[in-house]
Amino acid sequence: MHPFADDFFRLAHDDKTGRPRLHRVATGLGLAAALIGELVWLGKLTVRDGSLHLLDSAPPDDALTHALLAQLLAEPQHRGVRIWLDFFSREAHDQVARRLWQAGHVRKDVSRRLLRQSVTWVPTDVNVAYHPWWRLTTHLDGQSPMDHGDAFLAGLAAVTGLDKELLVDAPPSARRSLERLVTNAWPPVRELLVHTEAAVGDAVLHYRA
Amino acid sequence: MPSSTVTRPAGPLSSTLAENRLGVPAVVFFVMSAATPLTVVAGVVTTGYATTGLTGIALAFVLIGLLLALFSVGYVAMARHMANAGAFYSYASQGIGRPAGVAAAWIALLAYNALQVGLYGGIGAAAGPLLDQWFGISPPWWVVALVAWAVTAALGLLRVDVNGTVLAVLLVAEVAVILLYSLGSLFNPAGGEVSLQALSPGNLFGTGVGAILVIALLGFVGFESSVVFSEESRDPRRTVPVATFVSVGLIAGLYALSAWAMTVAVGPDRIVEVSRAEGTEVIFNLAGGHYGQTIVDIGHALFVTSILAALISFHNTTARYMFALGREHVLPSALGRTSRRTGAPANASMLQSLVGLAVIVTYAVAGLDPLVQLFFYLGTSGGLGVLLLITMTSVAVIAFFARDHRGESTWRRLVAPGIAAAALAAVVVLAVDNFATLLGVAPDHPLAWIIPSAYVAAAAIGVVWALVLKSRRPVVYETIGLGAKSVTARLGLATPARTEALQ
Repeated sequence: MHPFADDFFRLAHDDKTGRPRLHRVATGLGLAAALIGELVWLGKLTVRDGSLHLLDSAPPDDALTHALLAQLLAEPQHRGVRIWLDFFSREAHDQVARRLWQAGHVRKDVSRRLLRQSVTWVPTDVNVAYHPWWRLTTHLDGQSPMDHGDAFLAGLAAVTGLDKELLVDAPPSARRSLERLVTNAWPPVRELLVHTEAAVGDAVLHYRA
Repeated sequence: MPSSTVTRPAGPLSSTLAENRLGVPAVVFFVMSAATPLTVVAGVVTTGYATTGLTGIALAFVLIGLLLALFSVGYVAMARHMANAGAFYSYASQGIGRPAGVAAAWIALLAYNALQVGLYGGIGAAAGPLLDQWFGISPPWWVVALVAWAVTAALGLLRVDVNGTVLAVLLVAEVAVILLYSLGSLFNPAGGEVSLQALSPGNLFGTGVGAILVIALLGFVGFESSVVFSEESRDPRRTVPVATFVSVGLIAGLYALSAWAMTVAVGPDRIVEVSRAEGTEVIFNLAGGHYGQTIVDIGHALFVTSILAALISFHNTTARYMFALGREHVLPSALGRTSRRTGAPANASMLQSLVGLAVIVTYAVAGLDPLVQLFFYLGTSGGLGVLLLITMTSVAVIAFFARDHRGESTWRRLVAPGIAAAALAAVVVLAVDNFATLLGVAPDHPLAWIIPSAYVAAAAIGVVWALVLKSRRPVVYETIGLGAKSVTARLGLATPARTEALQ
């Protein structure tokens, strides 16, 4: 199993403090796309023509993706990628954090500020938390080929706006490689990435305080 | 044999879709909350009387309201079939053609920037009385403007829009104050008799009618945003058109009432001279006579918050416009980037803020008058641009449905937009013809032709740009007008006219 959502969560948060590197909406959409990606990689779904198509309804082992697949199965009248991306993005942050917590990768840090309580999920092992970032930057800086999973992850970083940070020490050609990763990706992945990009853009245009 | 139908309980996605549905009152509220009425009543109307010397502004609001209602028939019909319904250039693009779309985008950039930057000229006049009364200080207008600029720029980068509840409270308070002031004026008419002279149709046949029509149009800027809510509304086919007409009607009614009430209390023969003497203080001085200082202070405070809210709101609109164009690669794609931490369209926001700063500094250094030459000139110039956009859109509606009726009735796709387009074109001609009157300058003054020419130049740049894009980057060219969804179209993916999405 490719834990794309876990890795994207790590990319989107600081590896030492657990504080967000990315704004909430983009993180949510990236995680939602990553979770759908996990289902795609398991052969449960594919993405085509803007819709999710069910390939295999046997439940996956992981509880979270099992629950999401069940939700998809329960509402067959809705199949659009965008609408599921938007819907999953609302809870994705908390759900993926919980999954990491149950696996012992993060611990919960509750702080009380003024009248509000805020929760930060602090990584328990900095090296594990940093690993996805390290993998992607090494491949991008060194221009070495990435496996499909990492390519998807890099694509997610690109469409959610983490690319500038990823590429900060990379040679200029790395930016073009990153762009090509999206356009040349396997079609279901490409669709997923592009719809995520559109969703992030639309979130800016429809933002209401 | 009866067939049993199992009613499945609504799943979480379906329930979420259902609970987010907005009704007519909510959409009207969202549209109106961007209206900042006191800016129009205290600022635009009084400066309008003073600068143009014309008294027909109240009637002009009614007329423009009727015209925009007619325009809206075709507009909301076309919006139903559009991917990027919130922006006028999108209609020009998908209706007339992509060069027209890019031309409209450039006109819009010029117009919305002018509208936003012009407001910096008004805030000095609005804050002046308050600062003097509460703190005993009288800073130069540009100090107040720069403070307002800094606040706007910072909030834009931090992606802080004015909170919806705050906007709602402000709107209600401003409307209440305007109604109170207007009623006070109507019950205390000059000469003891309520004069209907400002509402008489004779006002339309004098010279300069184009000028008052543009001033009136300024009050309606933003009414077109109702279509943005169609994906979230309960019954889009009904909610959006009804909300649009209600908004236009309320705006027309409120502004016509207050503009007329002013002439009643002061006397229609004296309103121009009083406006010239008192500037934006006209309604506050009247209210002081009718109600006393507290009501005036509340009004002053709301006037300042109104302009500030308008500044922030227009900044965000303009920044998002540039962001959408950057996403489409019609403008440099750097403008289409969001800030990593805040999700704000940071580059677009900074660019708009720089434009504002440059203008404030230029006006301050050149010693130009902020109320007339910044607030009013740029405001009305922006209004002319919006008028051009609306006219282009009404033509686009006709062209769009001419290719494919898409099941819309003849009234909606041809008759109403046709009459609207003809009437709007007439208003454009009158506006350009009377532009000198609008600015309050001599007929041969250079500004009277420079400003309209600027729009022609912007449109020309837009057309050339589009044609260059067509030959150099055809994929980008093909997706003009689709906003954030252009990215899916650029990669050759199916882009349905409406993507079901949760907001």
